[in-house]
Amino acid sequence: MVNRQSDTGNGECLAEDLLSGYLEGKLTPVLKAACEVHLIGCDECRQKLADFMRILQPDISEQEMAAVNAAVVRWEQRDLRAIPSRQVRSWKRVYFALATLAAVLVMGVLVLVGVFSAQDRIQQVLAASPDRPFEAEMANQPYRPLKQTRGPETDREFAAQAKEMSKQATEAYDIGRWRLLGKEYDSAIEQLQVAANDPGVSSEVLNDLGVAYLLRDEPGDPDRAKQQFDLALQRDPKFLPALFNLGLLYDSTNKLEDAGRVWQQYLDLDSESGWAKEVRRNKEDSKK
Amino acid sequence: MTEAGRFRRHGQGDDLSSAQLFRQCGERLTDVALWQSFQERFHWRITTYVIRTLSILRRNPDRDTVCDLVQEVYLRLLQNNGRSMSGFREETDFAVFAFLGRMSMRAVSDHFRSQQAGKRTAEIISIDDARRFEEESKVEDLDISSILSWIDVARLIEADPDRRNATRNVLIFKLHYLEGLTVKEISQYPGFDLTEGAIEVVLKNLRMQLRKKMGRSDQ
Repeated sequence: MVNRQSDTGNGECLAEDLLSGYLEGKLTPVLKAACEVHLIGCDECRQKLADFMRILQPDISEQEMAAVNAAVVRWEQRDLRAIPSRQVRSWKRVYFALATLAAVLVMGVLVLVGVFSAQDRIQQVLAASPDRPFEAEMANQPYRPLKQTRGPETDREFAAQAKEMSKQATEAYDIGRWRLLGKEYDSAIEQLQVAANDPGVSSEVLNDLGVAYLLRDEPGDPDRAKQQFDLALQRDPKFLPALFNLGLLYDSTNKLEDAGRVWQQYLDLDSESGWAKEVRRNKEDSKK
Repeated sequence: MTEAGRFRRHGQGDDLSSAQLFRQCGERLTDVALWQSFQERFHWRITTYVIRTLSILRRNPDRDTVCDLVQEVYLRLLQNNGRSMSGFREETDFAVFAFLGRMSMRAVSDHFRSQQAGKRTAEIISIDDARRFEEESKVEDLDISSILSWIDVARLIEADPDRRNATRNVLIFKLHYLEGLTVKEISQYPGFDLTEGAIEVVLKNLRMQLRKKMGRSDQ
């Protein structure tokens, strides 16, 4: 918090740390007076201050004490720790949530201390997670099963990691991939398009741009995604992620015959990997 | 009554101030002993803040939901590798408690906002609406509330003989009569720098001035 009169602005609402600074009595006289003038006139800020005062009250009523004690006892019964996993309903889900959180945090620390080089950071983050961020396959993405019950905490951790890393990346392709991982599709497409404009563009870049279109799924995006996957396969007909994603695209647009053909093409090239097993399942499902 | 001793201090973080412990936990996310200290020192408080926010929102959830919301507060503290904790710049206990209070308020509000977004047909009660409902039910305060809605506050401030604290006094007046805070609740905060008795005097003086302006004599 910076104690300057300009912080309060002329009629601008007060920041929360300014409200706590006011309550604590640590503002300069000028800033304090400016806050008071604002608080007298602004119902919203004054209500926020009042809520804040109620919540931070050092005294606690008997009724509150009973409720807090009951909640703390429940916390202990559930054997919870200060490592969160919201709304878990079984030990399996607890395991996946905690493992994902731990993996992403550990990877974050390792990345920050420079253990990994720039190009393999995404792979490392994806490899460290027991889950995968979306159904489509990014280039060089290690296989992880897609959990239908994946909680919002997993998404948030991927998003938080991706947001941080996209700031550190310098290449458009790297930035685009991090943003894709963070599900910022517009921004990912913007960066991946820059990378795709390179005359020597690789199948990897085209595939990932296709994935961004596939996931964004706005009008015209399925066609754009198909175009990128086709281009990726023109450059490398055996590029498996593009085949996998093309199969998904056909399946999602109800072109089941095309999906079956592409998936068979995939299985002719790879019949053993986790991706292949998923392709086989998808192929069977589309026949039903 | 003050914070209960369910989580007594014992462990690596005992010698640290609240702010130091807070920062170190953010810097060492996997240090079990530090986090044990954090939980011992702050868990009860976080739970209290969550329950009070629920009360303001007029919610009465089961204990499991309260535990989930407390976990959500921890989750938010850990976000971005605990940057909000490791980068905490304040030094006082109050600042740490205020930070945890803000975190708890946001976690609870966001929880119900997203829950309501999922149930599109359900009635959404915002914190403002809940407060408004509460205010409307306070019949005895309605007179002063309606007066304050049209009175020229600037003139009220000018008329206050305690010119140096005139804005503070009017703010206290509004916090009491419009927001419903008790004299004791207001007196708890060092920012107002007043005892309960002094706040009573401030309120009495301003009531008198209001009555004068309305052409009534003080009863």
